[in-house]
Amino acid sequence: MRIAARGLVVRFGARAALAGLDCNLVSGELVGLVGPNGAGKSTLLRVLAGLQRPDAGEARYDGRSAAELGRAALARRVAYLAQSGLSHWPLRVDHVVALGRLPHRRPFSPPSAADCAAIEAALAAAEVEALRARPIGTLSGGERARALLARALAVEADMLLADEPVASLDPLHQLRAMTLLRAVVRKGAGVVAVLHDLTLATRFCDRLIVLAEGRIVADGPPAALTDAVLAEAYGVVAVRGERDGEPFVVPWRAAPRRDGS
Amino acid sequence: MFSPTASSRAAAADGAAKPQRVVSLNLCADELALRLADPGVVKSVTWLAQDPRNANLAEEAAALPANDGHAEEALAYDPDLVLVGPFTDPASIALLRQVGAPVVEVGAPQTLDGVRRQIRDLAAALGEPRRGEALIANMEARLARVAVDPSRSRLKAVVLRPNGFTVGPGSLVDEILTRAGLDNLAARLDIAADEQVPLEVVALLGADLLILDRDGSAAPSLADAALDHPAIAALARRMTVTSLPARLWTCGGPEIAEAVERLAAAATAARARPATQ
Amino acid sequence: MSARAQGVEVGYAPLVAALAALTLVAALASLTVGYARLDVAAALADAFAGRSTVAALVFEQIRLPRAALGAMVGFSLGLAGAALQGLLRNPLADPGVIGVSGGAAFGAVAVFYSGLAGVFALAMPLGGVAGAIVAALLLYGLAGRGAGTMTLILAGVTINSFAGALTALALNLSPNPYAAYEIMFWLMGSLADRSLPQLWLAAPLTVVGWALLLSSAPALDALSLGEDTAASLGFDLGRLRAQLVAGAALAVGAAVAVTGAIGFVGLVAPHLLRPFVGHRPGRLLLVSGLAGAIVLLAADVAVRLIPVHPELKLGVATALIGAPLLYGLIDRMRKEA
Repeated sequence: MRIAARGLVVRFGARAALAGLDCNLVSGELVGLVGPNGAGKSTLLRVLAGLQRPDAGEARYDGRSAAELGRAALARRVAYLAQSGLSHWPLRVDHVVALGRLPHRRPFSPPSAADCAAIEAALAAAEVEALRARPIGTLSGGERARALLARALAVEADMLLADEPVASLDPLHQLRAMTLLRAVVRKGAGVVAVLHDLTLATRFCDRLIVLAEGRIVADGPPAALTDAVLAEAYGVVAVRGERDGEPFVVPWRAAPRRDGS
Repeated sequence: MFSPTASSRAAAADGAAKPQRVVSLNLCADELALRLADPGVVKSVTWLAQDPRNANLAEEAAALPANDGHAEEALAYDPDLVLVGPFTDPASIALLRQVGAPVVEVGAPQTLDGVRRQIRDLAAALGEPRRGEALIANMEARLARVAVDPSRSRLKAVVLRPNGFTVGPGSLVDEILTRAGLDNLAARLDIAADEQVPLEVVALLGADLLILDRDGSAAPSLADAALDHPAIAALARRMTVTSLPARLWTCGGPEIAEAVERLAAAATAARARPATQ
Repeated sequence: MSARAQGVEVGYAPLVAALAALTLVAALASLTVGYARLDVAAALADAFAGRSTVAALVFEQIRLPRAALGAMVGFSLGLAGAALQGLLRNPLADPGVIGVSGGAAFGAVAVFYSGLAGVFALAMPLGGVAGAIVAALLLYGLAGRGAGTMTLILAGVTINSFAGALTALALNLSPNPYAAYEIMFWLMGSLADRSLPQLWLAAPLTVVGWALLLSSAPALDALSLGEDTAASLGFDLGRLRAQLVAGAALAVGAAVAVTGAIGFVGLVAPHLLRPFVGHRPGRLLLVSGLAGAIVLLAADVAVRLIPVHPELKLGVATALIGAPLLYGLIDRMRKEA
């Protein structure tokens, strides 16, 4: 699937969360969406997922608008993982994951074999099989995040838009989750993940889109995250290095301000 | 603060002179006072007396100013007699007594003897004893005309009031029914004087005559709507149904004669009806 | 989380079947319990044979509507409670607690005592529906977008107070002197001496309401994960809200117009059944409706067996059970927060 966004503008009151933004996304890529707080990352993801109508501009899915595609088709082909990992009711983990099959199921008909297979695959991929009968509220933060990720994987969509999927995970599970996302991409889907950890972003992503103040500051392979971009977007200076041919980027101190202070 | 004038106090104490400014704070007292006193003596009656559905002398009452049963309203007329009843606010009654206004209490008689006594007492208080006797005589004459053949078995009747209330034993209606030659079936049930009876109990009592307390009032209420139940319409096909508005018997005044007359006529109609299963 | 949340989940079809059977039993109990001794078997035989005996009359015109309405209204309240809880994502949402029943009562009262119902019979349940819609919209405006429990309860208290006051005002303004005393019926509810015409009047609107509510099951499941996730799973949230508000208003509004406002059934029924469906809001809808029917029929039987005159209002019986439950729920939520 190819998502093409042109001229996206989203305003909340006087503030512009997205200030005229173009981007192209395609299946088979793991894209890291990075940028400081309030840059508009979540807003962009929500517009791409069809949850927020832009005040100007539009996003097209394989050349068709969201309206042309239809709600049901969009739900089957684009999966969204929200930032706040909550479940209002104490559902079992496997029932939560099963919710991901709703776009594929006819209302009131029992789950098909394909549905069951997808659920099992998602549980296995997110490593929450052992937790399947537990109510989701009894899980730790990291376990809950993985269970919700499994729900998003169960959709088996062409494009997965994930808002901070690894933020609450411990280092082991962060690495495992990023590896999982790479596996998802290898199978042919596309993933766009909002990330705060710059090392994870540069190590695992095929491409980085850097957002600041509602605009794209950089868009390209991880090497596009130059010192200049870091300073402009984040206002930080980083320490860079390499290990086994993979780069790491560690924010080190605040960047000097342009006025020299 | 109310200061009784010398004349009104004198009149009350004296008892010989007729009261000239009578205020009634009770519906039943309203009606008796209007019947017994000279025109112009009664200065104010309650708003209930002006409602033709619930009162018997609505036209006469409508010509007078209405009151809500409060002490201050009565005192505004500088009355030499204030009539109160069982539902007048006790605080109002106490206030009237405290300021020295002459108060006479009207009751709710539950027997015909009580009705006679009430008329006599009120006539005396109003200084019209002869009018009282005339009223009673008229009532007795009408009751006497309702001939009840004691040898015939009494027809079984049940009364249904709004909200499913009926009339129990020992009440004035019970006595009216008996006078009309009817047997109040509700008196056999284990209930107090006036109680709610479920519709199915009424249906299964096996009465010959169903007496509905209604008169086709215009304003809707659930209480009246309860009498629209299809079961009652179905019952009407099996027994005689007659309507008897409550205003004819709630006050225990001379209008109960009309109640007895209506019931006796209904009983005759019920007897004439061919027997149904 | 408590052990209760682990659930005792059973198969769905057996659960529905068991509840349906229990509903039938409760309805039969309602038919056979009454104030007069009635040979129900004989009455049934008479009714079927077309013999118009008094027994058949009592059975057809008095007992049957009472049982049928008890089941219908109980189902509506249980179902609406579960649906509102799914929409508002809060287990305390009950049509009575949040003010929808109170609004419906005012709507019905305004229509009935103004005489409109005499002109056009369907006006009364429609009045109830209109009152329920206004109350639901007001509630949603205050507590809709994932507002917390406190906001929800406060909004419900406000709407109930206002609706109750308006109802009392309408009754006092009515020209009929009996009207002012009828507030107990409207605020506490009763099934006594309801009639078949009332059943037919309320039934069509009620059934439409049921259809709207029951068809929202998949959407309510999706809503467990929040509005964004539900939208991303393909559900139109605006349409869902309208569907749920309309469905609850139709079912509750028509019910209240006939029986007055009976509270807490929509709280008790979902609460009892939730562990049996794994807390899934979609599956809860149907079983909560059936449980509501059972609860209300049982309460109606109890009210007729208790030797109190006049007959205890149904809302009193449900409140005696439901209010302590509400207290316990709020206390538990406070502790878990």
